[in-house]
Amino acid sequence: MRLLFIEDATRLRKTVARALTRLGHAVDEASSAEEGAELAELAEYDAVILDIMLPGQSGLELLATWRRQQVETPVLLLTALDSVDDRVRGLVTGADDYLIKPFAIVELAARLEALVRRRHGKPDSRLQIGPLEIDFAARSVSLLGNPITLTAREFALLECLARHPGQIFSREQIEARLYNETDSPLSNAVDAAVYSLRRKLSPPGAPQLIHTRRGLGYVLDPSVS
Amino acid sequence: MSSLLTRLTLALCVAAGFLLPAGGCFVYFTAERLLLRNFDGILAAKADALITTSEMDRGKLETDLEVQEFAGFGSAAGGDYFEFRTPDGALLARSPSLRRDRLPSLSAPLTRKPQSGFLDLPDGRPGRALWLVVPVKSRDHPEGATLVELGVASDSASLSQTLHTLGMVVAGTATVGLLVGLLVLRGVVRRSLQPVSDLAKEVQEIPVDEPARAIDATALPAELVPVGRRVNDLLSRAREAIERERRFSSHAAHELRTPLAELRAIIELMAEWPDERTTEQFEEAQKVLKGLEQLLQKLTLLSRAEAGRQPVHLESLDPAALGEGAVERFRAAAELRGLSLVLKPGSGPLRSDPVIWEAIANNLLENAVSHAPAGATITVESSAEQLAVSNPAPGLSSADLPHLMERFWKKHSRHGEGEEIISHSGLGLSLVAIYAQLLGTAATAELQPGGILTIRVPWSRTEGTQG
Repeated sequence: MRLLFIEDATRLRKTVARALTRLGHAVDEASSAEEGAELAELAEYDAVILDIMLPGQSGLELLATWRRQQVETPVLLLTALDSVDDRVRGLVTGADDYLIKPFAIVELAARLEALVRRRHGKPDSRLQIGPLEIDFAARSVSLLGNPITLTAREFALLECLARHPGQIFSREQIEARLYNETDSPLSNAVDAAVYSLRRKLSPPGAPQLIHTRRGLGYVLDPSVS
Repeated sequence: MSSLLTRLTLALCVAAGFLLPAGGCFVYFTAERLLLRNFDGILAAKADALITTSEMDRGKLETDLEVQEFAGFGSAAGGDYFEFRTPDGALLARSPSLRRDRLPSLSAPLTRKPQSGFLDLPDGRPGRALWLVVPVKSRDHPEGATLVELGVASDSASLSQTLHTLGMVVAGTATVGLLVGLLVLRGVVRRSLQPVSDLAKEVQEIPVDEPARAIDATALPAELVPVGRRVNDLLSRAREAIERERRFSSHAAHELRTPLAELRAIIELMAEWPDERTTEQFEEAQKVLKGLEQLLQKLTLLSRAEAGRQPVHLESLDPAALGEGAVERFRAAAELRGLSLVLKPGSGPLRSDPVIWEAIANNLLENAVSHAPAGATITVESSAEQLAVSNPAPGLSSADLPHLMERFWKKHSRHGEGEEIISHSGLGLSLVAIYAQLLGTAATAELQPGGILTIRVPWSRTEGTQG
């Protein structure tokens, strides 16, 4: 998932972003609402993690602005304010979820995954595509019932393609999902990741799941051989 | 405790219960006195007529018969009565209406001043008599007058009937007045107390935790206007206190929960991915712990100072030397942010507590070094008159000044890069304020033109209050 994390506490932001990156997400960081708003205009995010108490414009003000502008990106509020009033205010303003500091990173990741799943209208965290079964919550993949070990980057690539089976993704689109603003991937990084994923998902002799559309990009479609 | 309405109604009922019978009695006895005076006046007039027309001749009293008839002392039964007698009681003359009876005497001895009283007439009717000692013309006596006793009496049945009727009317009026009063009084009192009830209801409807409303004091009666104004003042203060409490709660939560979240994230990162267990990550965790430790220490100091458990030992100090020491302690931290520290030392001894003085100076300098923009100059004035720290504060406005010494208050809650250079928990200036109070003075903050913030602790009052 491509995530935007807006938090003024630098150490917290960097540590959580690092953990989410290691879980296979691409995370862009912002230390203020203004910086976050700029990043949100430059890229499309699957979800935003937003702190409420920010210097200058508050997280709630930014959220209210987005909702007025019909920005539907799921927003998870991350805050130290734990009263019922605070939570209600956050949800009424347009937040999709609310997590109080301190929190477990796995819980944050699970909530983000649930937010994105709900956005795509899929209440189940498991997805069956042909012989492939993906559990986004457990971050596990199996092919014909046999578990497959993927790196975080490979899982992120598979997630990107599997959430929209049959949809062609260009290299640029995949790159935007896998790498954050500060990453500088090599020009063939996406091709290398696709090659590696294909090898794991389709052993020699088995039908390919990920297909190349020349000049367009890649698509995951088990019905095409 | 009974309601004001009940108490006032009861008091008024008791007053009415006393005043109405008392008024009735006054009316009755006044009327009785006037009627008796009138009755006695008529008797006296008749007695005068008899005296004027009576004369003693050779031991006998002669009375004009026409006057007797005219005055109602005729022979017919039911008429009035008179009797002349000598001072020793011998009968001289009597009205024909008495026939062979004697007019009863009064119990008191007779004088020239007429005496009157009720008695039973010889025919059994109730009557009233007037007795007196009078001189009558006498041909027997060389001075021309003889002292005799004269009694005049008349039927008093109609007088008694009038007095009885008057008594009944007065008693009935008082009783009816009392009963009607009881019914009307409660309504009148309730109506009169309506503004008080309305005020009580309005005050009761104000939510305790959200006193956003105010009372319209202009609509209150004059007696309640001061109450309404004072309630509004208290509500205003309550609003400020609640707002301050909310700010404190939210800032305290932020300051305490954020480092905990940092620590938890670092630990989870290292636990999940062993290659993250680097020296840098451990150092980060240590910095968070150190920050929490400092926060806890400041909260403890605040609590101790507030509870009055911070001892104050005054002694003679050199403010210039103290200022130099404080500036040197922060020079390295200031240089890391490119700040210049300038000391303006004053002369003369200062009587203060060295531990508290240093705590105030440290917190003032910590605040200045944390918040002054990079490259700025911080000025420290340490003299026998004051300790003042000035630094540019471009983000601060005069509206922020009242909040400066609130706990955890920060203009921006940024936990930016470099915060590890020096901690700024938002408690430092709260400590300055309470330490200044311990020394009998008060810390003040002022924003000069150009955005220079000066936090000043004057010492002039210290010696006066602490001795």
